[in-house]
Amino acid sequence: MTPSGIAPNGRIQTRFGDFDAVQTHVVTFPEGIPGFAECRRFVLIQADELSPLTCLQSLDAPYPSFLAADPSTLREDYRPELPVPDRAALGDPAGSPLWLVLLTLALHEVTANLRAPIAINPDTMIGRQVLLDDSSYPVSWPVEAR
Amino acid sequence: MLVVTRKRGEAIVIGDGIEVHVLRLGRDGVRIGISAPPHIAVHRSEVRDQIRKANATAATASSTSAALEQLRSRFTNPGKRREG
Repeated sequence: MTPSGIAPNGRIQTRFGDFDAVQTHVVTFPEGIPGFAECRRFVLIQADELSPLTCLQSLDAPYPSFLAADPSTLREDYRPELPVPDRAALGDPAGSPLWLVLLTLALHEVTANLRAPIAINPDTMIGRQVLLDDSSYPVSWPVEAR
Repeated sequence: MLVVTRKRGEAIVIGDGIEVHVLRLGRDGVRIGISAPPHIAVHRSEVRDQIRKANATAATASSTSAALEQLRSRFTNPGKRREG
């Protein structure tokens, strides 16, 4: 059994709990994500226990677990534009991609990475972490102070 | 690493269609211009490094179930939303 992955009973283990594989979708990141270049396959877990948040759990070593949010629930003025190279890498999605921002649950603060959101082409389930040129979007945007 | 000397106005070519031009030389910096095919993403390395670091933190930062519950409740009660 891997530290995180799909257990024999079909449950997916994450840092945020175990979830039924039935509730999930696999997203392929052909280039991994920065810092985790070998992590090509992630499961997108949208479970009741996490709702409205999403867990992105890698199926490849070192099996990182991320908590993510729909950015429109964080900031109404957040309108990431998919850069041309990223649009091509996602296979030219017809419409808008599915956007998610990665959250960091530190001891005293929760932050969202608005500078490098995750874009997913819902038709092909290909994903990519997009580095936005707009430096007004912070890497660590405070979601709330605790 | 390949090291080449270039003068202002000169360029190097990488593969098929990537060109790096030396535009201006200053005391503390060099202004360069990069042209690349549309499918090639070009970024400052420090931005990429910053994202790497942020991802590593996001994948390991402490996450108690209490903190997760508090965060979820914030999303379902958006009254306390902060302006960015």
